[in-house]
Amino acid sequence: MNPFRYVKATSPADALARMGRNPGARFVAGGTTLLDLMKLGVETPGVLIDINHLGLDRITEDLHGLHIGAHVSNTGLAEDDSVKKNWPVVSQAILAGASTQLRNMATVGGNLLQGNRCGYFRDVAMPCNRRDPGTGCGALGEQPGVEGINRYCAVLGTSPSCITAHPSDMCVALVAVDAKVKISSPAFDRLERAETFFRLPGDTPQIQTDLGADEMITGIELPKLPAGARSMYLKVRDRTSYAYALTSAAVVLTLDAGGNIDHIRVALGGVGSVPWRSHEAENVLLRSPPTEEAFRAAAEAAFAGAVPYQYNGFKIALGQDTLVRVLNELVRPGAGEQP
Amino acid sequence: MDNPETEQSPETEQSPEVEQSGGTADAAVPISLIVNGMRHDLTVDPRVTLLDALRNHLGFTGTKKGCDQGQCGACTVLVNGHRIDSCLTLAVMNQDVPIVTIEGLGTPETLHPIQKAFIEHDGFQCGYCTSGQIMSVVALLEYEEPPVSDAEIRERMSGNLCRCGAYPGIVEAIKCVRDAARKPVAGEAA
Amino acid sequence: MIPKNVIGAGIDRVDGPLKVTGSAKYAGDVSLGGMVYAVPVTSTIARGNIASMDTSAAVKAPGVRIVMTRENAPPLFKGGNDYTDACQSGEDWMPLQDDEIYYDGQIIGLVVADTLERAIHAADLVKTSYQSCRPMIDLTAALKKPDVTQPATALGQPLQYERGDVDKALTKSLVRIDQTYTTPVQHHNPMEPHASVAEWSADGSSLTLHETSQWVVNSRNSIARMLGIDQSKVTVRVLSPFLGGGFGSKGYAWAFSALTAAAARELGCPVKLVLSRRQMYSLNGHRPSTTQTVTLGSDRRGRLKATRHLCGTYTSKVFEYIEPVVLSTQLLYKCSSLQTGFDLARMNTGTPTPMRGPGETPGLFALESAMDELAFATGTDPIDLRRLNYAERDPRTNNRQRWSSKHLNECYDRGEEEFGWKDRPKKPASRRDGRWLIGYGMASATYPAQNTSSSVKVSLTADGRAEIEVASHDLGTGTYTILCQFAANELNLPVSKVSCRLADTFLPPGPCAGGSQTVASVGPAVIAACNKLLKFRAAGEPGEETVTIPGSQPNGFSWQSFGAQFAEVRVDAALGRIRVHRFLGIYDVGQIINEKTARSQVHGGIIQGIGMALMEASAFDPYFGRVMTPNLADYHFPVNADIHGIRVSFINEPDPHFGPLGARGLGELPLTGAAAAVANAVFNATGIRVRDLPILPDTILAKG
Repeated sequence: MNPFRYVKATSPADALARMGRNPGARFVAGGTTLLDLMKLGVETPGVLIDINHLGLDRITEDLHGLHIGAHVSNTGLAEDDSVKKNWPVVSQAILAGASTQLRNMATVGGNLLQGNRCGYFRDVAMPCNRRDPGTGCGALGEQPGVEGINRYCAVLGTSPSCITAHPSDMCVALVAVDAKVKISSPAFDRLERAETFFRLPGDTPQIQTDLGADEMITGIELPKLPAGARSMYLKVRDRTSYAYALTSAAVVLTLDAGGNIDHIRVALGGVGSVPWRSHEAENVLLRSPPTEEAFRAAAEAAFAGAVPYQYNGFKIALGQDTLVRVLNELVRPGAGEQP
Repeated sequence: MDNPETEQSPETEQSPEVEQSGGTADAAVPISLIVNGMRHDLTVDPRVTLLDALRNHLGFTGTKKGCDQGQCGACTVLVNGHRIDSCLTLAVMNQDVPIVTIEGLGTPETLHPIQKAFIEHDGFQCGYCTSGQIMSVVALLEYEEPPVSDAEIRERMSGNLCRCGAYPGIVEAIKCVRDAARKPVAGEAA
Repeated sequence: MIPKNVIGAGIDRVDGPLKVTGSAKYAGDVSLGGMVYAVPVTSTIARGNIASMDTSAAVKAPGVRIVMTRENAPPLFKGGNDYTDACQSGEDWMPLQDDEIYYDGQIIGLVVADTLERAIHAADLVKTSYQSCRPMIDLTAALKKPDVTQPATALGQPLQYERGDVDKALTKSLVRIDQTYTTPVQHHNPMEPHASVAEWSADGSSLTLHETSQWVVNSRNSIARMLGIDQSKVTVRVLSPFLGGGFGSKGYAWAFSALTAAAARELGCPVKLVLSRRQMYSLNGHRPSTTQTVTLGSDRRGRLKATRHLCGTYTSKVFEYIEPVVLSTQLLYKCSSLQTGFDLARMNTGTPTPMRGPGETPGLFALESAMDELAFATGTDPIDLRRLNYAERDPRTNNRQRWSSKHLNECYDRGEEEFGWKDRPKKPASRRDGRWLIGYGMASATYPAQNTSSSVKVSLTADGRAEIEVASHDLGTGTYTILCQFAANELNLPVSKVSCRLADTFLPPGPCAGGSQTVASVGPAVIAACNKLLKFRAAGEPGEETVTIPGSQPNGFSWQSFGAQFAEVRVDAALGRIRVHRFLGIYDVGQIINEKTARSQVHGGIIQGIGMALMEASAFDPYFGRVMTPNLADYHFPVNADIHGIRVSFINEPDPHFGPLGARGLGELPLTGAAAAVANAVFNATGIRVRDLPILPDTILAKG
């Protein structure tokens, strides 16, 4: 790990001021991503600004919804009574990720900036445009027909410069509940929709989010879901727990009096370069009856634009089946989910 | 608002003059850690993780390093009653909060009930992941909502890897301690 | 109190209190006055040459004591390739002696600094440029290269083997199975990283090494040879009293230990080196991938007429390690026409090394999968198929030589009953619970029994306390406890009055803790020493005895352990999710010494088998040859949530013709065949036959 100076910020304004004085410094909250990447040499900040003591660790509720401080731990959010009752998909998604120990450390704000898990990104000896622009995409491979180890990579939203998948579970659920990210800069505060907070790689894969260098995340807002909303997160992985998603789906829906879907949010994990909102699937489902046919059509629409790579083509069918399974569970709960 | 140099872009070393401090960037800083109820004053390089501070600076080698990247749980300790992976946090970030390590539980002569149960149910083989497993169980049973089903125990213990495969014994030990805590002590009114 | 039936009882581990309190000191826990920290610099390419190394920044970095590269490294020597004389290195080749890169992660330098943080950082500051070549990393391609060899033997057994006439027998077979099976690269991944702490005496006359070693006597000899030490002039002591798992990766000596000692000699202070998890994917061995073709010919019911098992696997470019894959096929079933063949390729990987059940584990996946295919093809119940081909005597001796003891039929019978096998779905993909398809599968397990010479010292005090001393090992296997049980039993003492010291080369020499041989080798020596002490015990006097007991000599019997393993899996076919719902193993390993530690050890073997079946695999970048899964988030092995419903049963019949204990050892056995039992259950559940491990969600999707 490179040497760095450690400083402790005392308020959001202090943190931002310190960042302003030290370009290239990093905020550290839970540390679960940043320290990992620093050990790998991927991150080499000269100054580390500890933002764990800014008073951003509270959850409050009002008529509009829930206001969550950026430094609420993942556990704190997942175990919050209101979240479990009113936004179960958020709680489920968080609890499907990492381990209790890591969820106790990781913060909500940090999870929005979770480093990607691609082996090429994490290995400074390997090419990666996201880490070192212009070096190539190791996952895509050095020559045609010899692709890199890209089984975990994305099939949606990729570009020739980067095909990594976004690793977060929580963020997938945040997109499905229309969460907003609260961002502060020395000049002003702003709210950004979770859906648009994340940036597609395009030809600038080094830019992962909409967060400016002079900005920090201070919290997220969960707007109230429509009355009668059902929601669920389902994750498929290589072992039963403590593994990243191969595919996942977060869905929020309501049915009208006639039994048709009248509110729908579909977000997919493990398959996209960013937490993937599927407007295509939503368009198929909105005002449709909740039938297997509609679900299947929605899943196909969700992946119509998917681009498979050498080792991850399975994610298209698996992603579709994951979404169909969640939709089925939401309208016909308990059809043999657990063995 | 767009700024191309946001999170995750690799940075070269900074000139940190503005954050006042003398000497080299890895100059040690004085910190104090409260471990197992005792305050320890020490001087560490800011890079020292809580795990390495415990092991290399304070001699608490019961806490183990299995992966050093938050992927195995061997380094699990309690901070403020929460179980965490001590390899992914800096010592300097954990000052003035209560830290409990395996050394803070029991000694070979006066074992904690969870330690006794691990022996009785053979919840370990090589013993290397054991400190982390036991600290997780302490958190699970004493600080968190106790688990109800076996499946819940297994899920909530999945952050502690064991390559010897002691999982069945670990689950039995947890159930044994949990159920003993539920039962009224003999002689007491129910 | 006089112990009753102390042999066989499920006695708590005597080292338990140390382990559950964190008091047990592992090599990496050792801290010595003035100690400094070493970190290896490793190659980032898999094949080529070092063009240049710029160490200037590292040398100037704060706290750095030395940066060792090929330019300034002391001469180091090959560590030996002699298992029999306990001088076996993992690769008979030494780093820092030339410019060539043979594999990714190869040691090309060593940085020593006053703190761990500074050493790690300075190692990152060493800048190396290479002339790189495309590495050979693909087994299929490597097996077509001219450097492929056909080694004649492994472990003294023939790899290129034939009895009868397989081609002729195949033409006469009504039913034929002819399939290719593959197993991936696996890494041992003990929870404890490999470590070495080296300290020289001031006059250089002695070297003490705190090692992660499954075989301290071998570590001493091999590391001494790497350093060019004449052991008659310099005393080398290796200690490894607690070992955080090894599974074979800590059996042979590896170069990093010698580098640590060389640095300590150079610097005149103690040096600690602990490998990073990433380095553990290059520097301490792995199980090589295999491609195996199994051809079976049988009559209509499945009685074997012909068996052919051809294996292709590889070793590194620097050492010939042979994974003895086909040996168990030669003996598991009665079959008069049988052939095995073995091709060994060379690849640009770190050197493979024995991993729990070497040979048998990948080999039985192929053979026992093929047997399941034969059962399906003939419509014969898989257990009945194995009964039909039961080898009453050793098939390698023209069915003449008897087994020292074999109760495999009892394993089948008991398993059939206890597992409820008769209730199994008779047709694949015919039973479901909601979305979960249910399937049953079974496989045989087998592993040879062996023992070797061991010395032991036992001392007795006047007040009736005994201490055992031997340079043997407890990797979590229960050796501390079991040896105390033997002494307690012989001397009529409570186990609490017996203590045990292990894994120190200053103690009487013991064998490698590998090959399931510790109990059968060391136990008899403990018993013999205790017997000699009985007169002191009777007289209430102190005494001590050191004895050496040779390994068993050929006695006209074949020594082999067997088992039968049964799995019930549930498969969510649409999402490719597989859960092992139940697993039952019945094992015939002779006398059980400690029911509790034996059961735990077998649990571990089964769990590693489930990991092998469902998730474990190391991936290499196909272009660069770099390990792409060098951590515990990308190399999956089972977590707690993956495991439930495991039951274990022992036949527990002492073997009358193998050693004085009648105990054959059980470390490796439960991993052999376990993956096949799971894969066969997946077939029964889904109708999908998976011949390439591991069985991942995408495997099911691709074939479903």
